[in-house]
Amino acid sequence: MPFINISFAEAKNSLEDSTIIFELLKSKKINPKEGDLLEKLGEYSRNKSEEILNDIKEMCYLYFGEDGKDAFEKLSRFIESENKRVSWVIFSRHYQSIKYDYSDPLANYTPRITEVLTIKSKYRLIE
Amino acid sequence: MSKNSECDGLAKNGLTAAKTNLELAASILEETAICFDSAGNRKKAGQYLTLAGDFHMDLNDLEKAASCYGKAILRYLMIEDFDTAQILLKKGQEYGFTTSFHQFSIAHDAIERKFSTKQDEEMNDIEEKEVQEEIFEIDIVPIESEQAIFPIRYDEFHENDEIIQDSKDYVIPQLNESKTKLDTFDVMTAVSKATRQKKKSNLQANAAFKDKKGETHLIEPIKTLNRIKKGIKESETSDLIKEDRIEPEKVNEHFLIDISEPDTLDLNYTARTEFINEYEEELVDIELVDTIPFQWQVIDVKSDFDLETKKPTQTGMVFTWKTGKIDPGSKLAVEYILRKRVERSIVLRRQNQVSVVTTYHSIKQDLQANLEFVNTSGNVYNEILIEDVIPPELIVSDSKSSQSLKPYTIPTHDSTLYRWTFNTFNPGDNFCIFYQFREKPITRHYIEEIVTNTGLIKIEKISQPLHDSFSYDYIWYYSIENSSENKINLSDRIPSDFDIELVDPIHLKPTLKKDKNQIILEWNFLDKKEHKSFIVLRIRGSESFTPIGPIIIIPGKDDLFLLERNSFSEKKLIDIRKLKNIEEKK
Repeated sequence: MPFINISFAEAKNSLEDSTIIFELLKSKKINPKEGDLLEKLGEYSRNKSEEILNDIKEMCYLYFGEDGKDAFEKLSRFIESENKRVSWVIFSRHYQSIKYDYSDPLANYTPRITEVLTIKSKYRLIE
Repeated sequence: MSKNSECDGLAKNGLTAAKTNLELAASILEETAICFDSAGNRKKAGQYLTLAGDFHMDLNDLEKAASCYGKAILRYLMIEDFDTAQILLKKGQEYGFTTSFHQFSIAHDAIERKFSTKQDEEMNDIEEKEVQEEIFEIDIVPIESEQAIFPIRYDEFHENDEIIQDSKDYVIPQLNESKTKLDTFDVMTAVSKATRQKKKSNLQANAAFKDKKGETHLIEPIKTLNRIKKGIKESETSDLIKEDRIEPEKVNEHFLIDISEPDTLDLNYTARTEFINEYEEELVDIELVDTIPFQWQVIDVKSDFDLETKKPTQTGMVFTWKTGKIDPGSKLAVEYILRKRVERSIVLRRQNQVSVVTTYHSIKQDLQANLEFVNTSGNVYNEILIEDVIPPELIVSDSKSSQSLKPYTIPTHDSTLYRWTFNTFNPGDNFCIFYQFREKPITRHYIEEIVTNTGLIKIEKISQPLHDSFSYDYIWYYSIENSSENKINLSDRIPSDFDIELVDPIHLKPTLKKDKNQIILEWNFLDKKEHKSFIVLRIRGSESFTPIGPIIIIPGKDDLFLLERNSFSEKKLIDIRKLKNIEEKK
């Protein structure tokens, strides 16, 4: 489920506390790609580096295609501006979701008899 | 000024106004949507209507908000973006929009109609598939060879070792009763399967010798068949597994995946026949006869005997070896290097008679096979079924037919069957299929256990290649069991040109970090909340690689002592769906 399902409070708090993103994923309010973008935003708000900002820009172009530039500008306003609330509403209603394939990884999976290499290791933790 | 620039201007005004005056913003945004509508851009119209709806919600104007949402949903339906339409419907319902709001009610009904149609289509697909997989039971009555309906011209097929062929003809009473093409093809499929099952693929060996009294004895020598395991050498595995515990901050420097060596099954097998003189006397005139079925191509032979004859028979290639004497307690052996062939069944139908032609095709070094079949019989056949059994060491990466037909692929217990069907095969017609193969990666099963004062930490990883994919797809399955009081982090590696396609459950997606020619996967939250869990990943790339075992990091504790390690290889069935179901029920 998409950005539209994330309240302003959740979006703002996720910038500080990444466990909120984990909980949003667990409750299926967002998908992993949306989670990745939120994580990057949080990373930027904690460490304002050009490199992370570029990563966010790349993600916007990757996920929103020709609207990538516009999406990045709207997201930048959310992470940079004082008026986060309106910025979040504007971003999340424009870019309501990132397409994600919810298919089961095991769809079309057929188990077969095959050569299996088993490697077993056992350790003792020195405490 | 173009229509789109006019819309963009309005959009800019609306977004500026939003910061100061929501009411004005909502009204300009609705106007923006109308503008995009008239420009034919339904997606943008939907976006601005949603935004206007949310601002109306902020102003507590439920009716206007529901109207905007309803209109937005209809626009997403127009561009067939059903996911977004459904999301907005759900969001609207959460806002408290009911069907008493006219526009929202129209949108609600439109979505329901759309989805009931989609479900009907999916149900039809399922029913069709079930019909196709119905199994027939058939009676097969062999015809004497003089009545053969597809005479074999051995001179054409026995010129070299590349293609071996035999043929059997049958009467199938059910074919008289079949009314549709589906019926006849199903019967032909059953005939093909039954014929294939009758063929023996086991190696046979017999030996005869004379004792010192001159009496002849017959025995069955010792036979062994092994795969040459290039992908699973002991030295390779120990290089990839941690020898000593690495400090957590140095883990990324230490663990690198191996992309230089393919991690695939070897195509070659060794078959060995041993003759041991267990008598306390010298034996003489020893004759050893090995039959290698045609499913196997003989690549090379090493022998302590002298080759007497090598000739094709109905059951396979027969090698007769001789030697003059063998001392008491001595051992003489013959070792064959073998490779599986593609076994092809061609079923030709004429009324209630079918001819099953079986051919065996050697695979060239470049892993290509061009399988040709010519109608040399002088008869016209109306229905033809061709089934190719792809050896379990190979995956088909491309297949093409001269008639541009598409094959139907059927997974078997250890390999894949490619089925081709077509109508009308005139005398002299040629049906050619080209296969490009690639070697199949091996399945790896890592079991890592850490004994701690407060309990056991056990992580298993299974890396299983997917057989039915043209690219290199793997399923990686992790099961995590942490009975200790320690928090654990899990890490793994994929090559940088690989992608994680799918994750289950989605909240256990790894975080990804690029590192030279690899991507580091990390899970940093496997604390007591995730005491028992599983993760399934589907990864995809263009080349095979050697996956490493899972890397378990216990933050703050970096001292681990290796108690034991062992590795072994065996043929077995691992069904990840079943493993996942067991974990889910825990």
